[in-house]
Amino acid sequence: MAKTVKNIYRSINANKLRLFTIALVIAIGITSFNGMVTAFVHMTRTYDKAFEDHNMASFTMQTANPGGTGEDAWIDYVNLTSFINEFREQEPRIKAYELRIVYNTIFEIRGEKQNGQIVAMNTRDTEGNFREQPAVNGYRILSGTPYSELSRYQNVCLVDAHLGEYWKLEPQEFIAIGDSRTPFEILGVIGSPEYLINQGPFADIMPSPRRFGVVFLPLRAAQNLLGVQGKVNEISVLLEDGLSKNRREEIAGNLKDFLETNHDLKLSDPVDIDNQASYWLMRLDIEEAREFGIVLPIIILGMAIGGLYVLFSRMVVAERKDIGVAQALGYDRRTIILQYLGISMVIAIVGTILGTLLGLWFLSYFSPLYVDMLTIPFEPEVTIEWPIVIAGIVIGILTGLIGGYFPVRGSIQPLPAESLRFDPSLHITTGKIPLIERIIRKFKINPKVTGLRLPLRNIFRSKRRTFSSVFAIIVSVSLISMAFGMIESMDESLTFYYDVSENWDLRVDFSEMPTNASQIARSLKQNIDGVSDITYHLLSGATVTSSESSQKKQVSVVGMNDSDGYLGHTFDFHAGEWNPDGVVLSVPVADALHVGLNDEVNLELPKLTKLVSTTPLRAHFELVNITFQITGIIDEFNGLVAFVGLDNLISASNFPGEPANTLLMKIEDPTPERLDMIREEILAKYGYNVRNIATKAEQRSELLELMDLMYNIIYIVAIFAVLLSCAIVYNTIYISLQEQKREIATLLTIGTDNRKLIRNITVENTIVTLIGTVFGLIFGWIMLWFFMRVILNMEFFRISLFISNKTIIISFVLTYIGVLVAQYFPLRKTLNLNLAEATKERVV
Amino acid sequence: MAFIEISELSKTYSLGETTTPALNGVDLEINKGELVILYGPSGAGKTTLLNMIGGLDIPTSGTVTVDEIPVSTLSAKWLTAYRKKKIGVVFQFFNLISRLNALENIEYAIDLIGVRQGEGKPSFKSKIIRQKAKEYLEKVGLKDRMHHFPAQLSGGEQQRVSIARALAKEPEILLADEPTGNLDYKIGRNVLEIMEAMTGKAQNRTVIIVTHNPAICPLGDRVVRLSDGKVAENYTQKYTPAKELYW
Repeated sequence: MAKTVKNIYRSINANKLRLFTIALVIAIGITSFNGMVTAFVHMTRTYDKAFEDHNMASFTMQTANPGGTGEDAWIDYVNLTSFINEFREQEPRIKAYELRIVYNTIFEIRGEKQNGQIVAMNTRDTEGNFREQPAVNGYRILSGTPYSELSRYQNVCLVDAHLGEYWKLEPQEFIAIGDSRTPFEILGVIGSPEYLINQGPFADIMPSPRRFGVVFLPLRAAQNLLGVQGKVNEISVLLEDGLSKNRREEIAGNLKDFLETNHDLKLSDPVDIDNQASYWLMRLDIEEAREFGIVLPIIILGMAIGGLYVLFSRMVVAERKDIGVAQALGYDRRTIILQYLGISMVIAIVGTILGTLLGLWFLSYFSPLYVDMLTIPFEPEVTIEWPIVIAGIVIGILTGLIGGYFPVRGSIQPLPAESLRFDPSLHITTGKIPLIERIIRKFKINPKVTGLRLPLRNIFRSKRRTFSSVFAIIVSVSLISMAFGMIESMDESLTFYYDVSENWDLRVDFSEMPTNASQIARSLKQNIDGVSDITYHLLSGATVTSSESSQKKQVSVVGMNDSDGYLGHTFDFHAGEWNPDGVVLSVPVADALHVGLNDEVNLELPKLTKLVSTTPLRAHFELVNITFQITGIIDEFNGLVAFVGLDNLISASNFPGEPANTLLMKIEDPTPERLDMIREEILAKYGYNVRNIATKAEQRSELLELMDLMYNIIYIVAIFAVLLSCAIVYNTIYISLQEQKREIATLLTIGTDNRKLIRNITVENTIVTLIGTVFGLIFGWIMLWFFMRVILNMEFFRISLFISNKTIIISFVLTYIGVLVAQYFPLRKTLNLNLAEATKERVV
Repeated sequence: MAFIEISELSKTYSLGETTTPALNGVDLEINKGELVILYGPSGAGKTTLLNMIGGLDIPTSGTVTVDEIPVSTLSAKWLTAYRKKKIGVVFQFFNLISRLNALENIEYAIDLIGVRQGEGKPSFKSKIIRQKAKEYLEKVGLKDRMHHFPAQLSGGEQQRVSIARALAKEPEILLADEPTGNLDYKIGRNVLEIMEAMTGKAQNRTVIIVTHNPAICPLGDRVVRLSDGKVAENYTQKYTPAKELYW
């Protein structure tokens, strides 16, 4: 045993640099696995902890008409406190509650208007004592100071981190709130779990602090601002931990019934924590990022394992003669396997330790980066995740065992003489000329023997060696092309969506749906200079079903007004065409429901049953099923969408007048200045009801921000891919040149000059790189498809998969640079060979 | 001045703290067209001396001058040019390029220097090179095996290809390191006959053969016996060892 250990030590010592570079392959794999997966776990935990530590409400409930002025808009604070305390006597699982004002209004920040929400809480507890934090929906001060005892008498506020960051707001600065433009002094900037994602209306899939900002006020200051002294419009309730959603909803329902029945209050339906906009969107974001954050590093690790196995195999093949010598000297099979296993284990252990340490070191960068990318305003707690570390170590050790055992087992021949006779550079038993050479000879092209012929023979007559080199190139090209392909597929889909599909320059979304849409559109077109086309749409949510499938799909239904010929949207038809009498579905919806052109689907839409008021529209609804025939199937970025004719949607929904919630405008010469001017004009005219006015560029950049996390994960993966590729390519090229040492020495001895030799080897490696690039691109495409369509299966955004020429060139060039760097060092060593020794090696 | 002049040539190999002297102050002169046998037991320094003459290795001290070229002080670039133009090497283990067939192995060597026809510049035309390679293969009796790859040739055939490859460049000096060391008697004899026929006086080619086999010695115009890195004996007469030493 001592002898085996000594032999292992000698072998490693003799090749320490090369073996270390092999260890780097596994180290890169383990680093990406440890670093990225743990960072993802930390991100999820930070998010969960943000909710737990700050007592995120289990459910909230607003008054029936929270933005209005009538009796159903406000409830007396003192009365509501006693009602809820009464209810708590029969429902002990309510841990705490908070009575607040949540009110949508307009802010003016540094002279610019923007929409937002004020959230006001009492700075005193039930005993009348001052408190910094509310009992439910707490927050964390990020800069500045919290409320003080005097705050309730002052016009002071705390601003949410997203709004603060967007405007770079500082404590002691003033913002004007409400129509009265009352100035409030900013005490501090806070992070609130309730607004981890700056989500306003639930349907706003692209939240932005510019469209929706949150400002926190002392309750008394808010009551004074709104002229509703002693009133609130929202109840936030914190229940005991561990209750199921059903139990939470049951308690919320009971509370609502209790308040409405016993105290004649009018309340809207409770919103469970799972349906809370920010919580829901953050979950969605995390779910979508999960595959990126976990599967991609696993792919890298898998590639590293594959690379390591191939490298070990090459290493053992190259040393087959040494194995023969050992056998001839009397070493038994077990001892030889043990020796190589020992070497592979040392490599794997060094790689694993290095990878684990690097992974842990990277954590301190990855975890805050991930949390920051998800715009969670809370510091992550960076801890070592032992299960992940142990998983990495086990994978690393297993790789060493497998990589060390199987190749050496295959290389031990029954007779030592067979191993001794083996020489990788002479291992050609047939006298065939490669097919490729025979083909090019048909075209009267006969490569010179000192030119292309030898590299071609080297490639096509040493298949094992070529395979390992090509494998390395495939790893490199496929990982790089997959990573860049992901980025550009998303970019390309976004570009197509905004450059082609979305055919508008300015979009206006209304808070309350006007019922005179055509009149507004006409008025805007007539009164605002530069509006060349204008249309309006009615957006609604619906569940689509079909008789062909048991699946249901939640979609955004767009009622398209095509009366003026301007749709504001250009369809990319997969099949069929636009017909206002039917429905146009996106590919993911049609695929999920197993339906095609001319099939029928049911859209479950809200139908108005009782109109309360028209301006704003307040009504009672019920859900009805309307059958539509599919007239078109479209391929576009917005994956869960259905388009129907506006008239059909209005008639199905039974809406009064000409309702619309979105205006789309085409502007002549849409410069940013002009768009800003038009935006101001619209705000001046309809500001009270405008939820959002966005240019296409703004909406696009907001969407990109939303996808920031995914992009950044892919960039990190791309860096690992390049590193891993370089390490694998370096080793295979090194081993390949080592194997050719004797032949290279012979060529030098008979007078081949260094330049010619370098040229031939470079040509050989260039051809190998080209072959590997072709297969690598195919494999990269398959991985891209598999990842995006099978693993990620992201329906929300429909991404057309795409690998551009630029990516093909980048993948090739990066890999080729790796190959040239990889061949440089061993080649330099080979060119300085002792020719006398190298040519004298016995190779019969 | 002799064609090859070796003066005070020493070579010491170092491995860690151990130094092994391979050559220890060798003085030797070889004339153009001479066939010299470097003879001696293993470790005598024969191959080391051959490598110094062939520019495959550089001495620790002393000089090697070939046709007035100071080989021992040439840079790597000039050493390559020297090997290409002046030297042909026949290896003990043949060292054919396994991916090239017999003909191509010879073509490769010719393609390095081209084919000189008359006084003009050498031609590098494939057809001419191929023709010349075929001629050399014919000379070593392997015309019918020209498209065979090394693995499909016997040891003797491989060595004949190796000789043809070395001579196809028409070098002024042919170096052969134990050319029959890896062959049996009959095949070895055949190889030597071919070598002898192709390197006769008419060619005016200097030939240096390294061997530990006394049976080869009678081939040489001169036999230089090396022992412990020194020239022990320099037989200017035909050297005929005792019969019992043959093979």
